[in-house]
Amino acid sequence: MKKTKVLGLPYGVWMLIFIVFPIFLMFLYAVRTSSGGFTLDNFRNFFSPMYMQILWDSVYMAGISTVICLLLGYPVAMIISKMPEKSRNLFLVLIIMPTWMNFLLRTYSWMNILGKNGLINKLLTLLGMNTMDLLYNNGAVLLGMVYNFLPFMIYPIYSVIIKINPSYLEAAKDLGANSVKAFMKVTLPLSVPGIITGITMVFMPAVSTFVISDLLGGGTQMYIGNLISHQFLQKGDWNFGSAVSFIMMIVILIVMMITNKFSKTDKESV
Amino acid sequence: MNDIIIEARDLCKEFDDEVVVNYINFIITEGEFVTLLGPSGCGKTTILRMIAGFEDPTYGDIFFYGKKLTELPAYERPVNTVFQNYALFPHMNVYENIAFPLRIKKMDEKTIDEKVKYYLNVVNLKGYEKRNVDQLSGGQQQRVAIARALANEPKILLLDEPLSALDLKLRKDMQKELKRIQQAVGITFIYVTHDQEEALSLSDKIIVMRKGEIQQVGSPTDIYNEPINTYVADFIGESNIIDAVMKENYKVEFMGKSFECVDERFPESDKVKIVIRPEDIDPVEKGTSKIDALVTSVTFKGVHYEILAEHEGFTFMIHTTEKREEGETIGLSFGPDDIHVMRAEQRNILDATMPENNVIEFLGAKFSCLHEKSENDENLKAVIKPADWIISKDTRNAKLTAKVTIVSYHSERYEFLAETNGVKIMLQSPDPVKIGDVIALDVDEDDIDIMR
Amino acid sequence: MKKISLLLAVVLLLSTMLFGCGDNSSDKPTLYVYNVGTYIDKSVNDMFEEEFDCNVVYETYDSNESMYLKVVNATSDYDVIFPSDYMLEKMIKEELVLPLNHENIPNMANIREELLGGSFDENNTYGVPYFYGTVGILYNTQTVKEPVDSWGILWDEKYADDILMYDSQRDSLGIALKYLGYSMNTRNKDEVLKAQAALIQQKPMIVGYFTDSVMDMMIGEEASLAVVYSGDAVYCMSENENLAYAVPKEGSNVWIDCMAIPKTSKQKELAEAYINFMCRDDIAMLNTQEVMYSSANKNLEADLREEDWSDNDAYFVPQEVLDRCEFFNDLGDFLPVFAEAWETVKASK
Repeated sequence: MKKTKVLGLPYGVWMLIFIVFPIFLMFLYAVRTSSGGFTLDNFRNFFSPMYMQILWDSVYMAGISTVICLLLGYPVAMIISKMPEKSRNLFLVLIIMPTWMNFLLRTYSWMNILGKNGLINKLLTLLGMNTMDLLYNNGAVLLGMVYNFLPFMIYPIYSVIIKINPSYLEAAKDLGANSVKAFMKVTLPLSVPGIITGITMVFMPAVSTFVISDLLGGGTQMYIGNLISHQFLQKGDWNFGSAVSFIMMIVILIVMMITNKFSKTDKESV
Repeated sequence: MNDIIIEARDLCKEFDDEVVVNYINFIITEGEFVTLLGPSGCGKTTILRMIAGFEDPTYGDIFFYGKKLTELPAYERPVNTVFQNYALFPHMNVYENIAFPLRIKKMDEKTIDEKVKYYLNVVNLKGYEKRNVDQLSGGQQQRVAIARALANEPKILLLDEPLSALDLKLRKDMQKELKRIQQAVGITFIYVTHDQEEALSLSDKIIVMRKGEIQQVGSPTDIYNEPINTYVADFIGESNIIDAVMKENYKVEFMGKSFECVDERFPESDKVKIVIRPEDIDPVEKGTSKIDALVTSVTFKGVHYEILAEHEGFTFMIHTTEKREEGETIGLSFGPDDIHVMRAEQRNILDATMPENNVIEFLGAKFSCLHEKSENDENLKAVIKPADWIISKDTRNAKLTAKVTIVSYHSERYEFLAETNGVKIMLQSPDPVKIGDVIALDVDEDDIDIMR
Repeated sequence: MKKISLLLAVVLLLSTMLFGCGDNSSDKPTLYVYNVGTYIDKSVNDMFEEEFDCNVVYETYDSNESMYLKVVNATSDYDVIFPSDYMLEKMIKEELVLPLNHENIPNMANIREELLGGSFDENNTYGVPYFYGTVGILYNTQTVKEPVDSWGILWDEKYADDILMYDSQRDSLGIALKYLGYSMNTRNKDEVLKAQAALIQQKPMIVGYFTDSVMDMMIGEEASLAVVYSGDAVYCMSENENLAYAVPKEGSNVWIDCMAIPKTSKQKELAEAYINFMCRDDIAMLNTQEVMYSSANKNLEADLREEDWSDNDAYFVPQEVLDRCEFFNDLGDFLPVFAEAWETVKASK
């Protein structure tokens, strides 16, 4: 017992310095005014129509991105899990490879593809068609989010599916379930932990993103990430910025609690 | 007579150039408890999986009441499997696991409830409905797996080494349970195991396999007492296998001594192997029997002592309740019945008489032949190769009929023994036969040799 | 064994720290220059190093505000900074910059008279002009056939989805204020709110709020109209001859970026020598050719009028344009009003 406690000490110190302390600092900023007095105004001001709209837009956009990632990612994870080992590993590397490159660069490259003089529009004009406005709108932001976060949905789901004992599926088929039923009644419920991890790993960065919305959205739509960065970099209102950051942290915690509930109730409901 | 429920024809399975099941043919009848017995890698599990539908045969077919089973996907086959690792769905409780196949069939809740409770009762797990699968012991999980497979009311239950993960006592109990369940439910059980004791105690019929081929098919007693070759003899039960020479009927020579036995010799070869079971040897005072041996080890096995005793370089294994000491010299005593001679070769040698020229009579029937009568016919024998018999299932006007007692299979044909008038005839046929069949026999005059 | 490895680790750590502390030889002085990105011809620094036998450590920032934060938090000892006019005003008020010894900067005589003595720093006590320019409309003459003389063209439905606005609080609000006839430095909340409304009304018609990408987009003819700094217009026009620049009649912002010395500087005299060096004709020419912004140096006109890229109204701001432009003043405690208005504009749908 003692040994494990000592081993945990460095991380405990790290956590204290780099996680607990900054959160505490952030909270301090959030409850004070620029002159130093104590106030709850920073939080109160957030609950105005304009800011609530921003919050809703962010959650909504992140939600849609997550759903799309799930709908695209789950089948991919399933297909890869059924491949022979060599192909499996190849595809896994291919999927994760883009994330080895700079996030900003990849987002910029989408601007090159979607722009008015970009790859797609050049192709369209070549084929004699009209150009399309693919960039600087919500669709482009959604595309950017799905593109960037899809690997983080595929990997967790894959790693859970691959560990499902194949004899469960054999048993299901043996007992009369065809492939579809076997999937719905055995594979899907057993893959829920992976789905939950995937949702968390996509929703969190999606809801707090500001780069993707800035670059691909043309700066016209403000999401909560943009709002926070605006406070710190342009407006200089660190107090309000901290309050909004704090609120966003709570939102994410709530989402995580809800998704965790799903993974527990699933075991009993079936 | 029960119908043939499963027939495997020229069943073959290859994995990456490795032949795992090599042109297997066998028959299973309704209601039988059949065991596929063999060491790991012999192909028994593969055969089971092909019946279940988890693997497709590389060649050959499996027939279910005459219809090709291999055309159906696994989930449509009237066959259910009890897996070695139970494969109970971890996200469902006991009730839901058993109800799974019934829900797939879209039965109403009331019927499902009745059946689940009924089969839980059959496996002696009444009241366990709400338990979570991970809360059960190994034996309980096994029983739930059985109940789940039975609840589907399949025609055939496949069991893939279901008891291998259990400890000895539990295994013995479960064996009794399985036999009881099978008799209660009355369906055909196909059981796979490497444990020969298990096979002997559970089965109506055992199929002994080795490297993808069937070595012998028969009832437990037949296989135990009349192993067809050294492999089967060695695999089933412990044996003492000794090289011997047989020059005349009912007499075999080994270790410099001659012994009476109950088998007839064959003209082809004098060299044979004989099998003596350890429990058939009694230790007696030295010098009172034909073979003396020096005791090199004595192990108490509870049920008996296992004594190893050496004679002229050969170590005998003896199972006896009498204790002996290491270093003692004992005599080994066994009777003619205890010496089983391995048939190395095939000829039927039958007592015969010749009423007139070109007619020979044996087994109560007359056959024309190419030989002529002679004076020295007291010990006349008809010699017929197993392959030369003409076998027919039509017994109505048969000259000679016999009943099949032991069946084995080699590469492309069935080799079996049929009995008539107390005499065992060795036969061969490409067509499958099953134990208990009555067949009609005839033979061409060219194929009858004689021995005087 | 554990103690030895710990000692070794400490030694290694310390030595890397010593190594990391720059490769300067201890006898040469080091000058820390903090400038906007892509705002200099880097060879100029090498020349300074040689002439003055010192090291120049050159860092960049992307906005006045972030530079301000760094200086006010005294996180580094910069010797030379390049604040815009209003930022210099603010830093003077907050005593963040040192007064210059003009005797060390004789080349200040090369600076255009009209740029000296700005209200934000009368007598140029604290700053010496470096580059200057205006804010105006860059437009594509192929698609915009009418005269571009009013900010209103940016609100014209005809050009919906073809307009690029600048992602800058003061510039965008400033344009709207000017369009409505108000001052860019107004302290009247109503006027600010009206400007906010105008921008919100404009929002559906614009492609978006951009900064640097404006240039590539205009050169690539992805839009017809854009708000740009005059220096950026010079660059764009040199790359695409369909582009032209205009400063609307309602007036606009004229800005000067100055060189100043933060109070944390440890090398004031060397810094003044650097500022003086930058005012030299040949150095100023190198810089303006690289950056393409209008140089504050008055002696370059003859040569630059010979070149295509600089012989235009974007580079040489005509007097009548200057007359209708105003400098940004520091908004002081009125800043939050602007900030909130801008935030509302960006957050609106």
